[in-house]
Amino acid sequence: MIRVETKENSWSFEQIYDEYKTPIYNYVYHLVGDREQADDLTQDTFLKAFRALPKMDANLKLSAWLYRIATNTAYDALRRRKLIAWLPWQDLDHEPADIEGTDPQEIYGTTEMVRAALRHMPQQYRAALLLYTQEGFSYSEIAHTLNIAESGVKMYLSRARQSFREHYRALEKGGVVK
Amino acid sequence: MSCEQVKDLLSAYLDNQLAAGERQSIALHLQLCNSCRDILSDYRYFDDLLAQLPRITPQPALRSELFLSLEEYLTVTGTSNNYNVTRHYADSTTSSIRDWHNFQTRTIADSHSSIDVLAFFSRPIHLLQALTTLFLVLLAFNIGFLSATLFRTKRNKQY
Repeated sequence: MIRVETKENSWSFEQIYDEYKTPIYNYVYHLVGDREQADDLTQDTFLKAFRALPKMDANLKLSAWLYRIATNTAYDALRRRKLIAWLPWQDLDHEPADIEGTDPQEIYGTTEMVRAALRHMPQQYRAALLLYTQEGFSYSEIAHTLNIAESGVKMYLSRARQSFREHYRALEKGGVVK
Repeated sequence: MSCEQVKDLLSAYLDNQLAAGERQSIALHLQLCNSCRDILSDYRYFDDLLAQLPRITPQPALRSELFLSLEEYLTVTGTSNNYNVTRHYADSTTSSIRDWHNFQTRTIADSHSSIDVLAFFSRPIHLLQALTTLFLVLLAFNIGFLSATLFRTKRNKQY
């Protein structure tokens, strides 16, 4: 069993995986909006982390560092997806073709509406919002994870909330989200 | 403060990230402005929705795949013996930890590209893509070969 030691803890790779698999998987899934891809990216995240861990300093903040790897891995995947233009974009893959005149909440349910609104947001704002609301990160942890200044986090979260609200309300009205 | 100014600060207001003066100005504005109050209450509601978003548990197969890939990586890089070293690592002095760090770092740097190729083809989707490409190349080659044979046969018949 391979163990790594940070200032706070001594971990085996298995313990790290068991502790973080679900939050990292969900974070990545909400960033890329596709479960199959989230499987691959979660695996990539942990592999990258396990390969690099022996090189890391003992002061390492494991959680923020893992999320940073996950964020970069997901961003890379999103960039590749944009490059491969002929692949169908998985956006709103549960969305029926015609939703006019029907209550969208009946079609999606609130959870799907939230996921759809997230998918429509700019990726950097989406990451900040997820880290804050889902993972309970502080402003300074978000800054560390996304490699931005703490003042930037304030702006990211403000734009994220505005963007999420706009897209959620548009979906609620059954409108087309830009 | 205008509504536009307040809207930009509402998120930080909600997170308690404003200076006392700004916070007071916004509180005052909110008492008078329905529209900004609605936005703030939406932010609270959406924060709750996002926090309560159901968590999906990854498939158990993901765990075994991950540790299989890791084991392959350690074997190919020749670092699988470090399973023993690392047991030692967990209980030992800082210097042996550093030795192991250096050893790992060197081997990882040396063998990164071959591992990436192996990792690439270990995914079913990538393997499928590679096989499809190979199939298409062979098909194109066969079509070319058949056309050439047919053309030659036709020409021989003519003469």
